[in-house]
Amino acid sequence: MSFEKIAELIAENKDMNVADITMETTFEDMELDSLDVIEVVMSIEEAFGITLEIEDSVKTVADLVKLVDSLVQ
Amino acid sequence: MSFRIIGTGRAHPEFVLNNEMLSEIIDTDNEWIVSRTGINTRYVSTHETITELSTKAAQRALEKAGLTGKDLDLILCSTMKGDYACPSLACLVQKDIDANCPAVDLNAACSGFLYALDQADAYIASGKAETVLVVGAEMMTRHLDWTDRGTCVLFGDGAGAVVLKKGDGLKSIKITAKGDDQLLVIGNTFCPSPYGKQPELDPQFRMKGGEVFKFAVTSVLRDVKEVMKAAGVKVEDVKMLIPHQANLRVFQAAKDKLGFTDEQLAMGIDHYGNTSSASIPLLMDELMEEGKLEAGDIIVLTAFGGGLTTGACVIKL
Repeated sequence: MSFEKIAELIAENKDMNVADITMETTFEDMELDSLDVIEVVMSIEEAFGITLEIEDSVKTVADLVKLVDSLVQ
Repeated sequence: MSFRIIGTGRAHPEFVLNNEMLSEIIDTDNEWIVSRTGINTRYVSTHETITELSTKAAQRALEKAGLTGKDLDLILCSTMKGDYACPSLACLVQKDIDANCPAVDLNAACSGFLYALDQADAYIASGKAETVLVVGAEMMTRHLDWTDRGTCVLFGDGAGAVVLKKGDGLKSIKITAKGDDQLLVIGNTFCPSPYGKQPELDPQFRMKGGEVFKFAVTSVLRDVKEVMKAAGVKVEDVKMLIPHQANLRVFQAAKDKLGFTDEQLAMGIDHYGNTSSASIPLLMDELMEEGKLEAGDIIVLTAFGGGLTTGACVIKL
């Protein structure tokens, strides 16, 4: 569930095709710099009603999904 | 509300520091800086004092208002640090423009200009003053760690001034504060005392960039919506949104979410960098001079910064 929503939010925020985003996709693959990631994080926070603290270890969509899931439950 | 703007002025140092020059002293490049900040060049003080820049900006604003220092009832200088801890920057400006009214500094970091406008509003609305000089002046390059490529590329020096007169230009204003000593800090330095055992603070600018970015976008969205609602103005009524010039990406994100067009977004960061509380009055004067803003236009100002502080207002020029 959260993967689909997160992929949608990334695609919407950064004008990408949602089909190009998989769990394995990295921020680097998507050419997202640190500020792009923050913008995505802000839209995720709004959509899920949570507060995220992004650490350097979060590098892929899967990392982001895991982080969101741990906060949503 | 209480005042209208009757004169604007600005001053900046002579020396222009570009991104290529920065790449000679730290590991960075033009593309990195431009894509993440929108900054191409910034003015850096080499010999100018903050008092000189403030006085110059104030004199220009007074000239445009057709007034002299003697006509002022109050001088408010927004700055994090003048040339001296004492006397205040405002007192030195008062002396140099030959005024004889009360003069005081205030510090709300990058939101300082909005805080000063709010104080001017209170003075004028209460009848304690009719004509107020507000100066935003900062020498950010005195507070930087020139080995930290994440922050030293961001800032520039400058001063902007406005002369305010009793009137009905200000349509709405709000300021906020939320005390925090983690996200954005510059430590003070003090003379050693044989009795003082407090730990020394780092005098260089430190920032948690990602968190500050979030704070900035969130507060701009909240404050701008609120002051526009209070003033009863819609996006299409606004000639220009003038955000504190901290980072192009912050105000592009905010602009898109608020529904403003590119033409409505005031841009000065490309050639000034972040000049803290000087950024809005610097840019306002430039836009007036270029004819991009004129009497009757509605503008929205919004700022955010260390403190954490924020401020926003709607003004009819």
